Amino acid sequence: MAPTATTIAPGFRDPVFQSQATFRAVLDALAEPGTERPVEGIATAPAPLAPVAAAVIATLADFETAVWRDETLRLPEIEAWLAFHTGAPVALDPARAAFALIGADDAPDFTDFALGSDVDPSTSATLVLRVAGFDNGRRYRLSGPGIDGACEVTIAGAPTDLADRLAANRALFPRGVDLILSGSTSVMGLPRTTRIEEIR
Amino acid sequence: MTAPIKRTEGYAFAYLDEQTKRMIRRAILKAVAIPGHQVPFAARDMPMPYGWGTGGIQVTAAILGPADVLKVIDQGADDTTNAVSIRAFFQKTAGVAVTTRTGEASVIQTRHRIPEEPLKAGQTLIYQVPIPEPLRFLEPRETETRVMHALADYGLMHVKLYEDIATHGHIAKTYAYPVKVEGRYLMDPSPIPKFDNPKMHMSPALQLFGAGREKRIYALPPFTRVESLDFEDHPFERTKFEAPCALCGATDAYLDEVVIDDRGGRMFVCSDTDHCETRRAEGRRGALLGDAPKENRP
Ligand SMILES: [Zn+2]
Repeated sequence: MAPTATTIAPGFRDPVFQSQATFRAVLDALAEPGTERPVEGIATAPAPLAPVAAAVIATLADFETAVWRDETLRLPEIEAWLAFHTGAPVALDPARAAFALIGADDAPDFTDFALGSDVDPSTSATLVLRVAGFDNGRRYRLSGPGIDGACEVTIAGAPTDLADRLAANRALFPRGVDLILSGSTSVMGLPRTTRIEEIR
Repeated sequence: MTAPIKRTEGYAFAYLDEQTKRMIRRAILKAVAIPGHQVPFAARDMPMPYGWGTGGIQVTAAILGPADVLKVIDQGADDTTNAVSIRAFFQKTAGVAVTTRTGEASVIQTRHRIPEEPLKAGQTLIYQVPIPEPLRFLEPRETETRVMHALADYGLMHVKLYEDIATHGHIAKTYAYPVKVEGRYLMDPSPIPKFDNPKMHMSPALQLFGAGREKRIYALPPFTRVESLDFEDHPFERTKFEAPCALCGATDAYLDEVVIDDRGGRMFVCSDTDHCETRRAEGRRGALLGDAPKENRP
């Protein structure tokens, strides 16, 4: 049975202030790549849509921005929740999505998403990549705008080839996708400008 | 600092509706991801005319939250009509705390200056931008300038600056002096004096630029390389002042010339009023104050 408005789980309790707080966390995360920014997730979002990813997409998406979601999220409860709380159209073609909700498993090649044009590289997609968290994972060294010199980060549950994917993405600059990594209680930003190297 | 007040009923928080904020927020995130690139956005009408910095106001409205402390400056001063109106607008619609002290502010909206007190990590400086396109005065067609940015073809600007040197012996621009961001995008820093340009380079603060009439947002994340255009044989030079501030004695601040009587008397004083007041409160005295130390007096 398709979920109805009465069975759709709640979103933000206080949309104006929670979306403002989530936006500032995402802004700080992308402005200072490698820093972890706490986000109060939407605990009521239907699983397996992670609470933090749900808060990010509820903050940024609306009827103007198509959202692509990976196989694991193509469930009627999630479709209904996203439609009700964001109004965002479903993107079936990743190239037409402004946002994508993806995980490490079966993550499409980043070049399948909109990369923007040389004249307006800002029309590229923003990928909300869910990860397990920011400790006990692979270690990376980051540098680029927003970072004072270089910094080291730990990311658990990202695609194993994350550094290669992002190096290829970096080579497209100024075109390219931007990543918002969503953990269990926080986000970390990896915009297209960030140079990343895995520490082995 | 003036504590948060109860905001006026009947307004959306910070005036803008949620859909407009989302659209502006998305533009800001892309601007941060592509430092120096002008991101188009669907600017909204604001309850004040364009010359009042509607672009900066929209950016401020999109980021502001209840925990912020807002400072608004116009040419360095917190007390001009423009600065007072914008500050009052956000007190009324967002109920935020406001301040004139640079060090206390989390968000600073500015028209034409960067504060003298070095900005810190966690602060955001929002510039009101009249003309976002640095190439506009060389090439009026938007379609052409966008292609120049796409190709990083900035030869025209270099030719113009070199013509200046040939004619005047130096680069004539003293305001809105163009910069190169991370070695890629040519950017207009808005009409700040070129004295302020070095403050943008590797600043720990986030810098956001909003142009309302031209509907563009651009950004400098913290720790971003910002170089003023110059030539090997004519390096960029910061404006220098011949005398210290007449009120606080500062020798490293940007000074405005002020006429003090009808006999043509004039003095030079800090354009950044908070900086000048803070220094005087610390006991520093310029030549024009009666209790100035002897060596400072004319
Ligand atoms: Zn002074």
